[in-house]
Amino acid sequence: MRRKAMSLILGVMVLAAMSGCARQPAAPALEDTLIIGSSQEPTTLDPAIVYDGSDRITRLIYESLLDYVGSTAEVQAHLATDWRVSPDGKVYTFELRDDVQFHDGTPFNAEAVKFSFDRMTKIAKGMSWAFRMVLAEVKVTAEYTVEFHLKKPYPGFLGMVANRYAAPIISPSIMQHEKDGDLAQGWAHDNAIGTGPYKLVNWTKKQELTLVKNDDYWRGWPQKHISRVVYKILPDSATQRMMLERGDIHTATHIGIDDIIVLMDHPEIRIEPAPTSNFNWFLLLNTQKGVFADRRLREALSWAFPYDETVRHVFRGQATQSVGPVPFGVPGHEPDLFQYHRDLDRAKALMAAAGYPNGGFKVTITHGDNDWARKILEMTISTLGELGITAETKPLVWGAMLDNMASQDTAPDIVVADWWDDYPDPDAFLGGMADAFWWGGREAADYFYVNPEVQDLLGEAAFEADPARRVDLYRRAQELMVADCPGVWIMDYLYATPFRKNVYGYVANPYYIMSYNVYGMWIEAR
Amino acid sequence: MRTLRRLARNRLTLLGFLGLLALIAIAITAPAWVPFPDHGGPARDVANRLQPPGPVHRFGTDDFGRDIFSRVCLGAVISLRTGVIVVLLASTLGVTLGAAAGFAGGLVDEVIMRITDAFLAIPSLVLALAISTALGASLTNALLAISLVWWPWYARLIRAQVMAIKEQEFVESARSLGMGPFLILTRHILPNALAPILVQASMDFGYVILTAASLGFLGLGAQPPTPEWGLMVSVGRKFFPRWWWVATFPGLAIFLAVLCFNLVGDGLREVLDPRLRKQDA
Repeated sequence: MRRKAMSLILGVMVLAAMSGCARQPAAPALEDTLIIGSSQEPTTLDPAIVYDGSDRITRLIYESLLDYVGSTAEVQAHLATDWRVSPDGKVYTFELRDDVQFHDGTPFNAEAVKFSFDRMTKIAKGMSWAFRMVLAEVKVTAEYTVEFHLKKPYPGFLGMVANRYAAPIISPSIMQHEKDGDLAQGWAHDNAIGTGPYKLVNWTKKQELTLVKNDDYWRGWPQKHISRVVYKILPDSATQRMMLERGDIHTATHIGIDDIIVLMDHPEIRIEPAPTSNFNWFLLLNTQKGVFADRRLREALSWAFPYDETVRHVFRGQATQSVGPVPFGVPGHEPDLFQYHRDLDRAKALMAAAGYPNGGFKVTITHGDNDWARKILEMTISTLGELGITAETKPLVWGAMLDNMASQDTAPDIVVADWWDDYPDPDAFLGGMADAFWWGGREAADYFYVNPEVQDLLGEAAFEADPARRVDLYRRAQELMVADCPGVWIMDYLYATPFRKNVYGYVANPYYIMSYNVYGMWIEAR
Repeated sequence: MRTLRRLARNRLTLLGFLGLLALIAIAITAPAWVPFPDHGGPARDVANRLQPPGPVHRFGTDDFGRDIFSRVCLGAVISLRTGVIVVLLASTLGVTLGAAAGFAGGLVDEVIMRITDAFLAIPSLVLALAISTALGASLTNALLAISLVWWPWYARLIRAQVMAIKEQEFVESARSLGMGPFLILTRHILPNALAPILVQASMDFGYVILTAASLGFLGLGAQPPTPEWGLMVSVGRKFFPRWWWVATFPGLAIFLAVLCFNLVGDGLREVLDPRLRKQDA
């Protein structure tokens, strides 16, 4: 009896489903609200100051003159319509759209562009250091024409203008909220007037932000779109994962690698990895003090590290083994550089040559306190163990790590490090090294790695206008670095974002890592 | 002998005692017989990561392919050593200061007791967290931190004992015979005041192991790849519930170890505490 009833119900359901199909052949119903989970609350919404994950919100509200095409590091016009570079490489002229308005009706024009860039350099926070390094002046030459005069030719400039920090355009009307000459920083911290597809309507601190679509958006709205974005602050990665599994949120950022691995097998979840990387993980070796001052021991570690196991098993294919210091996908990546592979015998022979046939010494390691760093740390400790080396480890937050590296009195032998660039240019990735930024050190004697030849090559390459020569300079610098083994370049990480399967239209771009192109996405109702 | 017999009469105490013996035996001999003795250290077998419990890996493997059974057994010695060191450090410090306070009285007593008040005013785990954060995360520092938050309990306990005993007649007579205060304290008072300390210490083993595991869980105690149980639970938590075995087995080990110590402690208290002994006699 019961079975009969069941089959009857099933039959009715199938019929209902079929008739439903027949009535509406295409056009599935849409959900209008995208719910994002994230462990990070924006620190500010001021686009002149944002220099962290806060761009996940500001990118929806504010726009730049240029942006990156799809998943690539190529730039295309966005609020600009066209641009030219003067023959000497020092003047960039942008023609602007004449049909754009800010959320409050203020017209977008060359004055607004000048206002935004002047304000950003005056506030001098966030990523403005990069602009102050190269930008001399912004000139308005017509209502919709603006010129950027550089101090010297800088080939990375277009990439900088497209980047997600510091370059977005803010409405000059915010100045009515200025207090004590703060250029309206106080107001723009919690409020926003941009040109973008979404407007901020609510920010309940520590809980959530809500944005709604800008009806007058200059690109118009396609039939399939998302009209509301709710950004929930969920500090714990496991919570994010469970809410995704239950369907309480559509996607999550900053979710731990193990939670991503768990989600891979979930039938309702799709993982979208970025097609290229701008984010690598490596071991920084202290070449100036301690055992790793001996190049042979650095090379030994480079041969001993189990790259393949790390990439294939520990990170379940969400990474590829690095070739040199620049990840693939970043301009300046050299696919033909020498690449180490695991060869333990060779590593042991080098150890013996350096006078440590059975290891027998201890090294110190500092590392970040996150999933990625801990996994690399354990692989490193285990590799060192195979060479007879013991390790003393210390988890630190990023700022403390930099402090720790800044003096040889406290500097460890190894730092488990990761790096990503702010804009697509080899200078952004390697240039830090010319002023020894990511090699630690406050005094020259405190640097982890010093090679004047590399520093000269990088310094020269940064402002080299001839593209072919520039590529060549960067290649030579990288060849020297790989030969010096100041680091063990482990893997280029492919940042992956989990989605409920009914969310469509996401385009992963490593330069917009952990943020969303919500305009262009849609959600089908389930 | 009578004490031991009385102890054995209580089934639960006996059970706890046998459990403890087993734990100690495992702690001492584990490296000799666990299937993967190197998995307690920097070994890895990532091709076998997160294997479920089976014939080869009785408790399954963790995210680096290490045998959890071996690691749990090898971790026993860490937890036991933690318990012994902390209890010894804390009770030595506490007994010394507490006895001094109780015996000397006056200003000394006042100062020492206000210090214990200050320590006891803050929840012990929070204080241990603060201290081990300040010292830097490592197992040794965690031990120090826990000892530092634990001694005031002993100090208070012994002080009360000493104050009660020092008024008794045999102490009076020792004094009138011209015995010095140090000798009176060590020869006459302390031996008579130690029973409650023993009970307290046996109960504390369990709590100390738990606290050390909590510090490890919070990343402030042992560092990877040490097979410390709390750290293993912390790492395994991320794999719950899909790969439940990673956190469950070290968690069970903590549970059983703490339970055994508490059963034994309870039994000891029944035997040694005169107030509880009356009905028995």
